[in-house]
Amino acid sequence: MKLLRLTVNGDPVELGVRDEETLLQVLRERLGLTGTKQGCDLGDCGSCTVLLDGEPVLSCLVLAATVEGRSVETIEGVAGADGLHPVQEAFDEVGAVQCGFCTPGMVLASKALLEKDPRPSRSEIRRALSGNLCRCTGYVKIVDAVERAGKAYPA
Amino acid sequence: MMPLPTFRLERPATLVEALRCLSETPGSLPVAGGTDLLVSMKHGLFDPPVLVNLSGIEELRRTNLAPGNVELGAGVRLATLRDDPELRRGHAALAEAAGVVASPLLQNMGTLGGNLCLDTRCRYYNQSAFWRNSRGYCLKRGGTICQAAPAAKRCFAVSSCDTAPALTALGAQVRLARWEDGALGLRELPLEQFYVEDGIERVTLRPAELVSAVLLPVTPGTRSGFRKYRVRDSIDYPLASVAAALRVEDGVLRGVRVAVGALASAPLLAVETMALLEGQPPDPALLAEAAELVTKGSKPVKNQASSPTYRRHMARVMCRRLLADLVA
Repeated sequence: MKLLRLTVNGDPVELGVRDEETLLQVLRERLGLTGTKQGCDLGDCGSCTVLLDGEPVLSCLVLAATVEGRSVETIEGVAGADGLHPVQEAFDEVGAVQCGFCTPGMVLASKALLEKDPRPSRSEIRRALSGNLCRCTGYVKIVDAVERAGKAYPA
Repeated sequence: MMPLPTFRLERPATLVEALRCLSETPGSLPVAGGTDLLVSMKHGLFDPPVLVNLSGIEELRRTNLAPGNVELGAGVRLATLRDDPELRRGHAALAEAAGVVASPLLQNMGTLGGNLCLDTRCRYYNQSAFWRNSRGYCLKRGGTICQAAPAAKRCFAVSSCDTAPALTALGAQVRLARWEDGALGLRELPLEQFYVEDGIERVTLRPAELVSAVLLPVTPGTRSGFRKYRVRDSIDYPLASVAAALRVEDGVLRGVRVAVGALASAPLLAVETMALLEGQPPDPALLAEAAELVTKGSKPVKNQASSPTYRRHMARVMCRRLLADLVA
C-alpha cells in the first residue's frame, strides 16, 4: 500500500493504492471516473487512454503508484464550464460516435494531437489515433471530426 | 479484467539504489514503461515478489547527442527517439524503428532499454494462463515440449523488438550496469553480443544487471533506415524487419551493415549481404542480389501470424527496397 497524491482533472487527489493497482483501476473503481473504459486491459485497444501530463498513455498499463505528483486528465475533465470541448463538439456534429466505447480514448488522443498541431494532415491524424481501435465507424468520420475540431484552435 | 498478481513496488531514485534493490531480492524484476512486462504478468507469465520501478531515475533519461559521442539513456521514451530531429538526420534507422513500435500511445510509455530487453514472443507463449493451461504449457514457461516445433529441443520464440535490428545495423554498443561486491560494475559490449539466439536465454544479462545506456558511433555520411512488415500498420509486433546503414564514398559502398529482425530469437547480422556490397558501386542489380541473401541465416518456425516462407520473402523485398532508397 502506498500513499498516492496526484492531480485528476485539475483537482488534487490523495488516496492509498495497492502496489499492483493500475491507474485504470484507481480511476474507475476508487474515484468513480468510469468514463475511462476498460477494453482489452492489455495495451492493444486504446479504450483506457488518459492524458498523463498532457501525453496520451494507456492507463491499464500504468502502475498507479508510479504517477505520484503527476497530472491526469480523463474524459470527465475535457468539457469546460461553458460546454463541450471543440473535439467533443466535432465528434457530435460529424457523427464520429456510434457505440461510443472507444470515444473517450479517441477524444483524448485527438485533443493531445491538436494541442501540439492544430492543423494536422489526415495521415497525421490517422497516425496519432492508430493506437485507438474503433469497431463501428470505419474511422473516416473520426478523422473528419478531428480535422474539423482543429479549425476551432488558433493556428 | 486482467488483474496483476500481487507484488511489492520499489521506487528508487538512483541507478545504484535500483541495482541494490534488484541484487538484494532474488526474483525481483525491473520495470520501466511496463508495456511488455505488465502484459505478461497479467497473463501469468511472471509472478515476481518485487518490481523495481526505473521510471523515477533521472540519470537513465540522460542523452548526449554531441557530434562524435551519441549516448542515449536506457530510460529515454521511444516517442522521444521518434521525434528527435538530430537523431532522424544522423541515425534515421533508430528514429524510424522507434516510430513503428506498437502504437504512438505505447511509444509514449515504452523506453529504449525496455524495447531492447523485450521478451521473445510466440503464439504458444503470449497467451492467457487459461489458454496455456488448456493447450498445454511450452518449453519457455512451465512445459517440457515446444508447442511450435514439438521435435525441437530449443525454444523458437521470436525477437520482436524494433530498435534492436536498427541499432545493430548502426553498430551500437550497450552499457550494462550491476551491483557487485558493494560497488557499481559497468561493462560495454556490441549489441550483437548482447543477444543470444535462443528464445529462453535471449540476452546475456547477468542477474540484477540492467541496460543503462546505448552508445552510437557517428560516421559522417552514413545513411540508414528501417522497414517493418506486420499485418496491421499499427499495434502489431513485427513479422519481419530489416535495418541497414551504409555510406557512399568515391562511388562505392562503405561501412555496410544490414540486420534482420523477427526471423529468429535474436536480431541477425546479414553477413553475406554486407560482404557482397562492401566496396562495390551501388549498382541496382547488385543491390537486388544482395537483398536475396538477407535471410540466409534465418530459419523461423510457424509460431507467428503469416508463414515462415512469406516472412522471409518479405524481409528480402523490404531489404531490396530499403537499399534502393538509401543509395538514391
